[in-house]
This record gives sequence, C-alpha cells and structure tokens, in this order.
Amino acid sequence: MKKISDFLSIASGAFAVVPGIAILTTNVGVPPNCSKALFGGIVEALGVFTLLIIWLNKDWIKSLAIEKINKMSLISIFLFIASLFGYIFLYNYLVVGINNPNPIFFPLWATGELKNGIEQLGNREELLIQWGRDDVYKVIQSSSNIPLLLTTLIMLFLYQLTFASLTFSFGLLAVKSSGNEIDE
Amino acid sequence: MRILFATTILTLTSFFSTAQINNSDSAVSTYLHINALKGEYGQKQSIISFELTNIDSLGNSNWKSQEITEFEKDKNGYFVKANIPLHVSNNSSEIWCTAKLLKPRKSGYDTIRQEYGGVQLSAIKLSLKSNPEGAETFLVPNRIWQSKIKKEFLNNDDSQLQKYRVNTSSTNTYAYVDETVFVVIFKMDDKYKTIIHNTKPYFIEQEQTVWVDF
Repeated sequence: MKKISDFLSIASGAFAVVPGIAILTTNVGVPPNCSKALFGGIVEALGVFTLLIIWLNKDWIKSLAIEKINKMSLISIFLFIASLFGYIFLYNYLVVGINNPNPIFFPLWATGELKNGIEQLGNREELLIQWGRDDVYKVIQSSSNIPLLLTTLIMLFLYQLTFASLTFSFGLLAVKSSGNEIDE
Repeated sequence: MRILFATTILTLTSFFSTAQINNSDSAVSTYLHINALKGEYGQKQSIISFELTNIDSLGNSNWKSQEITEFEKDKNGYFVKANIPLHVSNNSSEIWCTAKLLKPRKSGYDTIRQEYGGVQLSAIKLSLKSNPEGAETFLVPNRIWQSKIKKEFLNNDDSQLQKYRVNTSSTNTYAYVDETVFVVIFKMDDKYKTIIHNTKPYFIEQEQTVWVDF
C-alpha cells in the first residue's frame, strides 16, 4: 500500500510540474503565435496551486468516505479526458496550414473582412490558398482581434484544466491512500 | 609619375563605376502591411502620409523614408509600398511606422503624428522578368485585386494600379514581398499580362521568379 501511495504522490507531483516546464522549453501544444510563457506559466502555477490545495486539505480528504473520493476522482478524470479531447479537437480545427510549417491560428468565429472572405471562398483552407499566409494573418489580427483573444483564452482554459484535473485526481488518491496506511 | 597618374585615374573610375552600380541598385520596392490602430475607424481622422524609420541590428535608427502618400487603406489597415535602399534592407531588425494625420477640431483640422508600431521587412525576393525586357510591373495582393481592382481593370481603367507599381526599375527587376498571393501585372506598350503568384515560404525559396513572354 505504501508503494502505491508513493507512486500516486510522485505521479501527482509530476503532472503538476512537468507539463508547465515542458511547454516553456518546447512550446508543445501551444497554438501558433501564442505566448508559450503564458501557457507554460499558467499550467505550472495552477498545477502547483492544485497540489497546495490538496496538501492543505489533506486531513479533510483523509476523513472523506472512500465512495466520495472515488466519485471526485472519477469526475476529475472525466474532466481530464473531456478537456484533452476538446483541446485536441479545437487545435486541429483552428490551426490551419497548407504545406507550411508556420500554420495560422484562426479564431472560433470570424468577423469583418475575415468573415466575408471565408463566406466568399468557402473555407479557411481556400482563403489561405487565395490570399496567402501573411495576408490572412494580418486580416485575422486586425479584423478579428477580439474573437482571436477569446479563442486563445478558451484554449488556455482547456489546456490548464487538462493538467490540473489530472493532478487533482492523482493527488486526491495519494492523500487518501496515505491516510489508509496510517489507519492500517 | 605617369604610372601614378594612371593608377589614380583607374582608382577613380573604379570608384565611380561601383558607386553607379550601387546607386542603380539602391532603392528596392518593398511591400508592407501596417495594422490599423484599435478603434481607429470610429474616429474622424484621416492619414495623409506614412514615414518609416529603420532600426538596424544594433538597435539604432539609421534611415528615415520620405513621406509616403500613396497607400492602400482597407478595413484591416494599410498596404504600403516603400522604396527602401538596399543597404537599409540588408541591415534591418524592424521598421518603425509613423503616420501624419488630420484630426478635426471645432474649426479646421490639426495635423498630428501618430506611432503605428513596428513591422518586419519582407524578405522574399521576387524577380520579375519579361521577354522582351523593359516592361512595367505592378504587384497587387490577390485579396485587394479581387475586391477592388479587377472590375475596374477589366473596364480598361488602370488608374488604381499606380500605387502598386514596382519602382525598382522596369523588367528585369525585383521586389521584396511577404507570403501573400500577388497578382503580377506586366505592362508593355499598352499591352497587359497578368499572372497570379502564390508566394512560397521564405525557407522553401528565398528567391522566386515570375516570368512572362509578350
């Protein structure tokens, strides 16, 4: 039981700390032209925050019934899966690049000239082909700046939720299992 | 003494011919996008001209353009064609844009200067060649061509084209562009040829060519 408890603690700590550092060093999963410092920093900060919350409330967590712990863990694992799938889906939908390693990050909804262009040409891929990458980038920046900002915030929320929920789930189980060891 | 004189003449000739080559190669047409400022379109002010200042790789200002009064305004900002000396484009970390604009007041207008931030210089060299040589060339972004110019051009009105003229020289010539799809228009003896050029990324082809046969 001690080994399982240690494993869960290490996993929880790793999910809290490693993703943020990985994002800061490799830019993994960050949409194009978004700040990796922002994404990495927030994932790191919320991961550590989740660990601290669990640690501060460890006595309360230990006192909870196992059914309650199971329920909370399952909910947070479900949140992890939903936010991960949501993030992957949104990333693939919004980041468009045609034979170009510098793809474009589109907003969830378009306004102004970007909207007109997509309506006229049918889709975003055709827009990139007809206007060119840099022209589309400028149009997004100037005509759909607010939708782009809100889309970035949604992506950031899903990204941090992925790691925070995983940290919470493992942290919860680690604290509860360490409580069981003491009881035994 | 004769040898000294001959050497001096040779040196001077060499110097002036080099200067001539540099001069003929000194100004290159470069196409820039300048974003509109937030909330700009709600204000009753109009831009008269842009002025560009080059910041070199050491962070110093080493060149200032003349006032650029011909530019394309659309919903997104400004499409500006600048004639930039080669020695400037070879040593540029950023170009700072300042606009001179008219702001209405109770009676008349105030002329004020407004900073429009920095833009990166386009790096893709687009060679424009024709057979025979000597054609005028115009580079129009496809987006602007489709929405503003194509209709008038087909009705034999080419007045809108002038602000897109490549000023470097007539063909064979070149300009610096970014990764925008351009409609390239060649004009020779009132005869036009148009070609759509899908500009490839810089890392794939640093120098790209558009060629036409009249």
